[in-house]
Amino acid sequence: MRTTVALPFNAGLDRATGSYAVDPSALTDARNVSYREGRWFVRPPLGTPITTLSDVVVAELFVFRAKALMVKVVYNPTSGAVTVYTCNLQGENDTLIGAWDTLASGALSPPRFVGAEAEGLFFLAHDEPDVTKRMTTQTFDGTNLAALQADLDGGGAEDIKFRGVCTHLSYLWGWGFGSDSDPDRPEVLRSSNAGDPAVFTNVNYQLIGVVGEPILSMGLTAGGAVVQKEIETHLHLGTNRLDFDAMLIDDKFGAMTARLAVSVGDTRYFWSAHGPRATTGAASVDLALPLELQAKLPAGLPTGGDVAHGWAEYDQDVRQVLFAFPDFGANRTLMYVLNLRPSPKAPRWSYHVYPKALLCGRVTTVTTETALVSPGTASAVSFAGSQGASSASAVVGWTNNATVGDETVEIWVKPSAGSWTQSRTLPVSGTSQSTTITTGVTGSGSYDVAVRMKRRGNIAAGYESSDPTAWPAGAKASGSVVVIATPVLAAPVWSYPTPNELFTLSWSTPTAGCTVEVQRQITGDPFQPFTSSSYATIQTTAADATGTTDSVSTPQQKYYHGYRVRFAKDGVSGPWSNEVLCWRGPAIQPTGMSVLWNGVGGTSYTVAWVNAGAGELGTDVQELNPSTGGYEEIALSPSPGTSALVSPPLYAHCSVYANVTVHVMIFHLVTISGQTFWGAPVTAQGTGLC
Amino acid sequence: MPLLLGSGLTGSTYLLGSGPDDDGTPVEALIETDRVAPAGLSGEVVGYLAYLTLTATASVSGRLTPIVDDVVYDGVHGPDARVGFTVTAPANSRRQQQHVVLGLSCPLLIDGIEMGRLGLRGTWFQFRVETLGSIGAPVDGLALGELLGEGVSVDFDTVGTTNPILAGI
Repeated sequence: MRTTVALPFNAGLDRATGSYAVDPSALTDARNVSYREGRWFVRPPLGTPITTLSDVVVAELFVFRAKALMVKVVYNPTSGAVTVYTCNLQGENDTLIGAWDTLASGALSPPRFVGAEAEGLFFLAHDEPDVTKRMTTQTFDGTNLAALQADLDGGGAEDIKFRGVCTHLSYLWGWGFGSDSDPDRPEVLRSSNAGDPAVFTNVNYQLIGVVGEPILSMGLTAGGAVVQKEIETHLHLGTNRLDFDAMLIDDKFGAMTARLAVSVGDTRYFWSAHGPRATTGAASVDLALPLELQAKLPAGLPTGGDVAHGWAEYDQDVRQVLFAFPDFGANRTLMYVLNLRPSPKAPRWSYHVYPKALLCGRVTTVTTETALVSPGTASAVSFAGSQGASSASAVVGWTNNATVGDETVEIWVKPSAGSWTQSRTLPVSGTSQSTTITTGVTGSGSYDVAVRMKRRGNIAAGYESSDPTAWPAGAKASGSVVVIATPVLAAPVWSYPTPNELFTLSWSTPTAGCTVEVQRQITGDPFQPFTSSSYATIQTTAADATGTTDSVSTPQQKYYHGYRVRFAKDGVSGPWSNEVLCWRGPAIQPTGMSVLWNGVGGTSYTVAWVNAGAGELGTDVQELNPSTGGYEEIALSPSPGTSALVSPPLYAHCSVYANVTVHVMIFHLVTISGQTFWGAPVTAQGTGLC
Repeated sequence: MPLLLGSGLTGSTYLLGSGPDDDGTPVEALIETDRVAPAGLSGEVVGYLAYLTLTATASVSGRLTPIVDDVVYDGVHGPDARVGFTVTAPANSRRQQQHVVLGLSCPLLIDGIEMGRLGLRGTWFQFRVETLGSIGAPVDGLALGELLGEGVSVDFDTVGTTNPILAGI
């Protein structure tokens, strides 16, 4: 009999329920998957780093909503330096804010941080159990870091070293610090002045639970804020200083660390000493049962790292609470993922495994409200137009002011007598930028340039007009562009109109009004390479010239001349032309040249050629010196022969039962107008078995 | 809503979903179903065919591994009875449900003639479904590939019925 069993992927992980009772659609392992209704899906990949800061670890990321940016706290494990950066809500454009402090020797490493935002300020606390090693709590206004200070013991304003901070009602709450004279008070919960989160007074504090047992976490629930210790949870009561109080609501379960707790709507999810739990302001409920944490993990699932460095976050996109445990030694992270979809009342677990030790994670929410933050502005705009290039361009530079890192920059340009064109749009980056523009820069002339910024369509006040003429002067600059064409130099023509040799040069039509600089170089060896540094200017022509001649008076030289030219105007030179070579003599050359090694074991070779029949007087035969790359004379025939026996060769040597290769160059000696010249050389090579 | 993740060993910040893999390592999913006993608590069945239903926007390879009476038929803990599958990329990058039929038995050949079939026989069956390598890119080249597991349906041939005593009947 055939039976069909359908197993929908519906129930999520359940490692606890016995086989007889378990939902058949449950899973005993669910790795790198998350759940939707009645199905699982593969989690998104990590991708490659979008930014990397050298020599540090990214210890914590916070969202600073009032400034629409992220606060990134990094730690240098070598130096112990803790530094604060900002970046945009997509994690890009790291901008250094400043040094916080150096981690004390013996402090928990990497360090942990807790942050909270209140009244346009962001507060950073060092979650270090030992108050003597704890760094001072910082306030950050989006631009500068400052130590949080208050007079909490009548001794004057001193640094405050909260272990954690939280915003609740119109107060900032900080815990784990008594005063400068009595700092180690882990049970103390202090509140700021209402609406003034950076101001703390001595009398505004509460003692939570057992004295000496540290407060580890504070967060919001439906019933109010909960303050948690390792095995206690207290509900914070009241709405102002007149009625603040705390009530123990759970004497068995608390949160292991501040970072291992996250509030989602009316529920606080946290990792207790017995695994994950949740509270809405009453006694917590157990979420750990399906994970069967007291049993071994499923086969092949890597273990997570120390709970001290665990962290929690809620990804509202996929309705998941993530409990992450990075393992630094193995460089990986195990996440316990609580899927709240479709209902938080029936959460389902899965595991995510990452091949990186992820020390922190933060969901950033880019909303319309954050987009309404005004973009920054540009100042110190500069325009450096191309001078002498064959095509027009300009380098525009500017300074970024009050940017949050996710703006776009618009570059507008116009010829002095023309109209504005938007030339480029690019993302803002760092404190100053420059870029090359070509659109709108069409040729020689004077130009105006203007720069403005946008944040998701928002434009800073004063920059709204589509006519940059109306923008503030500091966002504009002027400059000139000089375009000079690249010459095309034709092959020179040699002649001997006695008494001097003449090289006739010609080139393409210059840019109007340009003079032409002519340069030459000479090589003593016909095959010595020319180099740009060996050129020397021999003349500058009048404006608009298209050719010139070069006269020399030392005949009978085995030289090439190299030439190049460029156009110039008003002290600006354009690009160099192509280079051309010209033999200093007639183009009378032998043909049919061959090189024949004279037999196996031979010690000579024969060079043969066909004379050009132009009244040759003789032939010069030269052989390549392989070690120098130059040719050296081996035979000089005073009569116009057609072959030469070279015995012995200068450099070619016979190795029995191997091929021998010979490179030979020959010139003809001819007479023109009573003067002897060497004709242009010809080379050939021959190979023979030796 | 971007999920940004900071590396604890380097100064890198990652944006979840910004690339096709985990910084060079494929994201390989693995699920394992809980136990079912198709013929009852002490009955026995032979697996015949498994119908795996997946929904995908891109190509991906994977395999199904049967686990019978706690023996994993993966070639390591028991004989290798794993069956590979490949999901093809939809032509339009829209989610497309695909059914993969996976044989759970093999023919017994004598002189080249199939004289019977060999299958996995037992009481408690589980199935492990894994993806192998990264999910491919959708044909439109815009978004990351997506793979959703819907369920697995398995045909069994009953070869022994429940022992009433063991079943407590």
